[in-house]
Amino acid sequence: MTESSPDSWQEALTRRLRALLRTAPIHRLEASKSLREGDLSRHDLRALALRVLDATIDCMGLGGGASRELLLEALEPLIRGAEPELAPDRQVALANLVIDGLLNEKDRRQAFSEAYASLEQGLVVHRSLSFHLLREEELPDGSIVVRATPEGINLYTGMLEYDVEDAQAADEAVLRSQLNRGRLTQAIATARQARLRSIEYEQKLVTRLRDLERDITQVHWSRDELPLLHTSRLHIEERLKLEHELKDSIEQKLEGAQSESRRQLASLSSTLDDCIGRHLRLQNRLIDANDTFLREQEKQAFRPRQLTPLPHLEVDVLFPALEQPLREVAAAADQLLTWFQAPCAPPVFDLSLLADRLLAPRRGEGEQNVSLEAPELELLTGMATRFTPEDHLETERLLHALPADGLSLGTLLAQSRALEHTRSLRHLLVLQVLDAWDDRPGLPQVRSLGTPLSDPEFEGDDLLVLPGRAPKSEVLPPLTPAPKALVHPLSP
Amino acid sequence: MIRPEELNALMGMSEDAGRLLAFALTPKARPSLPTYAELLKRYQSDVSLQILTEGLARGLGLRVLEVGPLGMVLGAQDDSPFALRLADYRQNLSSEDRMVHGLIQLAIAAWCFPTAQALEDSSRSVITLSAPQVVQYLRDLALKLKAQAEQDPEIASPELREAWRVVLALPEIRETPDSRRSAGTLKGMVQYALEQLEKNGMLKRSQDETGETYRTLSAYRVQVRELGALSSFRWIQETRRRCPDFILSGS
Repeated sequence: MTESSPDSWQEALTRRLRALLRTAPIHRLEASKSLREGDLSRHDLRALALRVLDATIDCMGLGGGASRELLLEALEPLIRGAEPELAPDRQVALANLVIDGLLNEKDRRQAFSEAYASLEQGLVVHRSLSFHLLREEELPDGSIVVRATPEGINLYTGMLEYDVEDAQAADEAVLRSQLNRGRLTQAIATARQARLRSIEYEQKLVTRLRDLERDITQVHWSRDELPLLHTSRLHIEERLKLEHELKDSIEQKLEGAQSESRRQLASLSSTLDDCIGRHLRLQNRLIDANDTFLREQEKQAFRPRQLTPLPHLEVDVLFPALEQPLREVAAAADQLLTWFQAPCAPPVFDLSLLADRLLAPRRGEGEQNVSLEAPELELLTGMATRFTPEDHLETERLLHALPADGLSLGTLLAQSRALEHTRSLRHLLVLQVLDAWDDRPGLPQVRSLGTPLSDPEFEGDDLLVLPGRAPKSEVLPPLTPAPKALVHPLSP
Repeated sequence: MIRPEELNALMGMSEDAGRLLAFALTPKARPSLPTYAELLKRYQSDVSLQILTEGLARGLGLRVLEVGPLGMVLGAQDDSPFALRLADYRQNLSSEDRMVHGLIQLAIAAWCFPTAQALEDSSRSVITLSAPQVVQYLRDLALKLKAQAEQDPEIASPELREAWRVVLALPEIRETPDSRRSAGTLKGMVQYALEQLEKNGMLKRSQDETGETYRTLSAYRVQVRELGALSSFRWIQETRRRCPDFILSGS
């Protein structure tokens, strides 16, 4: 394959270097496998990565993308072949490792960025190449699929340094030659390659048109886009013409072909039909592109534009928010919910709907193939108590021995610990102190200290426990609200 | 005087506008539904339907944030009956809990879209996240602030404690005896927020073995980009103006 235009060696070098850099993520995946959990020495992660690209592109040919489940299925034979005894969950983990590597999950799906040096006008200039290989996209039915980017398709098809348009023309020329010379097996392989090219070209154009629909201010329509659309229309017209010619040639050959050749020619014809269908759809899209632009211009021109640029959420909002006092952020909690959660229709109680549901006849249960075992039950002779009588006695003793100015709960717990009481007893002590909160005669008096409790077994507010008052005959005081933060035990 | 046929056309269009808003407010409704797809297509080409729908939305305290092949995304004004309130979200919250729940909404958005470029780059629409990742992220930021604070100040009232102190004081996880997560822990709160986002059509739970990984849908990016980011930025600027002493440097 010769270069289509005379490049200087510097330009060709830069082009080939950029092409080489796009394979870097795959090589990195393989190189880092020894640092991963488990022994991956029997697996070639490069092969797995290419298989992911292959399966993804195959699904894209049908107009969608590949689901995760499909990709896991596609990788299974390769993984099992290398390590048949690998457990199913480890297989899934390995497959996800490869897929996430191609998505650049560890950098939160940002573009891969590879630094390189290019020679420009006699000087070495350092640049960075940014690209994605795979992306996850949402479909209108809510499912999420994996799709390959044009760079990913280009990498997979191996024609890294050539424009997809040139590669398509080259593939068709080779296909025509192979067909004329009766090399049908090679022709099928070339036709598949041509199909991949058409998918790559579709992605390239669709991405460009989508950018236009998203924000027309990012494109200069008359200077950049119109000439590109014109060139693309010509390219597709030429592809369609050649593809139809190839199809005619195949149909002529089918008439006199033997059974094996007929099968191969039918396969070629089917692959060409796929390419023709894709190019026709692209052609329609290109024909509508100008109208789309005018519509978007009308729509977007009157869309209110933000005068303030978007903030960096981490540095400009979250970080300063963490510095703010609790009361300020708490006061804004409702608004934060409104801003970051979707609006939702408030549920409305419908009495008639409830009545209908309650009165609806019970659905018949299907035959149950589950055998129900009668549970083993035993008669309880007495109620199991949480705390022993000794615990109750000891806590009563502690609470009756309080000094006149009281003790904090933290001190009481420390005393109990020093006396080598059980944890269960201290739990009972805390419960009794909490029970005394509502100030009933005969019980200790409990007040909040306004400081957190410092104890290894319990957390919450610290409380001041004072000796109880003697019972009075007058009306009991009204219940006061419980401490804001309940004292509760930490993990057992 | 409106002619009967004009009135009929107006009624029909009002009904369509209402139906479109109803679809947008139904998290499970997707543009793969033929009626919804048809209405979206009409909305994009019929200016009258656009004006009617947007007017109806405004009356309901809603704003049309974006309309595209993935559906219509609405945002609520602060006083809209459709705005999600903390009282509907979680009940009986202390002041600390309110603060943390609000902060978590911001943390999830910042984790997914930390920079303005990340918000604008719609090719990165699907981001994966999980509760442990967001918890770690929030704690790491709080620890950075702790490292910057030279000493613990004497705070007269708990309400004046900085938010990062409250975040660090919260336990990350606590298993309950029946292995449920505890709602009072940071992980429990983050997990709850993710579940609410999933329920409201902003995230999608992954079908992996843990069931704890989520993927963002395009509606979430639109919500954050068109409403959350600037509104929260304005709020923080206003708060900093009112509380300059809390711009930390050992204060």
